[in-house]
Amino acid sequence: MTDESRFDAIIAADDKVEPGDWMPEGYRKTLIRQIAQHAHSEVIGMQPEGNWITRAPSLKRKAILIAKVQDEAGHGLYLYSAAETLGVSRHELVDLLHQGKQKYSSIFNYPTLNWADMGTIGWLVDGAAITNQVMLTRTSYGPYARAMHRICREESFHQRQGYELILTLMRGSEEQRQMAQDSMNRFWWPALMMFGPTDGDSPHTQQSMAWKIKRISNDDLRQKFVDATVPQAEFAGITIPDPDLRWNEERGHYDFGEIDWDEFWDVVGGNGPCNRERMDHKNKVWDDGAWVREAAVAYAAKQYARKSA
Amino acid sequence: MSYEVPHMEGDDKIQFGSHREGGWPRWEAFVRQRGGLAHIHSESVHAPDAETALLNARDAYLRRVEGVSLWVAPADQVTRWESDAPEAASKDIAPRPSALWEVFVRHRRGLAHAHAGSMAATGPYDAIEKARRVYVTHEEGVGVWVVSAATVVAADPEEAEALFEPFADKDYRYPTYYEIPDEVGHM
Ligand SMILES: [Fe+2]
Ligand SMILES: [Fe+2]
Repeated sequence: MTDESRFDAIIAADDKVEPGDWMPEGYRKTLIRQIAQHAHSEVIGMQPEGNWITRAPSLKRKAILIAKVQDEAGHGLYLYSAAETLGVSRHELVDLLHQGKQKYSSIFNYPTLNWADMGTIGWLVDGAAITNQVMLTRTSYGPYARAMHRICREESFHQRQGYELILTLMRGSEEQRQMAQDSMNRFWWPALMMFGPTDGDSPHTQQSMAWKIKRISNDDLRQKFVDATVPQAEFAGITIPDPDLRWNEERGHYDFGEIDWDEFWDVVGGNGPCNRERMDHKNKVWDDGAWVREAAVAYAAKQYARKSA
Repeated sequence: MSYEVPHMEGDDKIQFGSHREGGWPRWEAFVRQRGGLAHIHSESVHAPDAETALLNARDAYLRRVEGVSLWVAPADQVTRWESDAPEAASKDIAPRPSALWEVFVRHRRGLAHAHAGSMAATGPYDAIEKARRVYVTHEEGVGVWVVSAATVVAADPEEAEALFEPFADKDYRYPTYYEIPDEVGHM
């Protein structure tokens, strides 16, 4: 059996490819790119939520928010470590992010303007992420699939705390309801954009699906998310800002309006409301934290010297 | 979160694999979830020393009450064999005095390596050869890792409480803490 036919057989059998296996160069590169950008997204995703930690309205909400942001840091670590099994170093990938050569999800280039955004992000943004990540637990690369299992176990907490936060606001004062609605109005469309361009505009999808890296197309995932979310919005009494949203009996799905793809490409291209801010902040904390990394290395060297003395 | 980041111009020009200097060394982390279970590989962490590696692994892999014991080993000290690449099973250049090696087995594709036991060997490849004979029989086991027992660092059992207990009373970290009405579907 040649290397290639062995690889093809693993994929055909729905088995997992593991780090020691031969794999096509394109498969390896596609995975590094996808896992790295997934990791970057987890890391940059801490910023919009971190923004509200000091202003959380109660100790309980603050503890929850800290725990969630800490989880996202952990997700970034699992993912970098999965990428490293493909022959890259985390250091190198972080470097590519800092230089702007690799991207992260555009959703994090939108600002968090009110407290309700902490609910909307958990409910809609993590909700959209879960839709994608549940699919990725079945991805063909073993370390990526295992990282996704670990992540999905934690995401349920993220989505539920977000939805519960929105429910609480919707049962509160008129002002609180308006705050929740305002947040929904700003985040609904960007959340739908998280699934990426339509299938017709995503030329790499086919190859990714053939390699079973992706198992469901962007449009199908988006539809899944809309179908799951509409009843949740109705129950909460919050309005989804889409006049074209309605149940389609024939399809057995919700129809929804056209996404503003110009906005999508604009934000991807670097012109979203917070692109600059997110990257400046990321680079700044990396530089500011240099002394911590140096001190840790100095401490390790000292311990080592003491042991070998 | 996950993310479909669209392809951009220049994406294909990035050359991966040029290991730049400056990163901390990598450590493989192994977690025992409950007494009676084996230590299972839980991906890796970066740290300048074993002590920090244990702390980082605790924060990364044990944020909920998910383990009772933790090991780390320097990633570059782990010798790896995959059943699909038998040619990788080289010989030790110079046998050393017999010493203890920890053995981790991937029982099938998709599973992480699990600690199988330890054995005396005169080098990493001797350990792999012996481990394959003992643990990879009847087509069970698609990969073996061995690492010298002396390089594996375990979290001090005396400090287990300090390491693993702080998360025990943080019930808000669990999805069940939030009451979500059945009408809205699974979440
Ligand atoms: Fe999350
Ligand atoms: Fe996450």
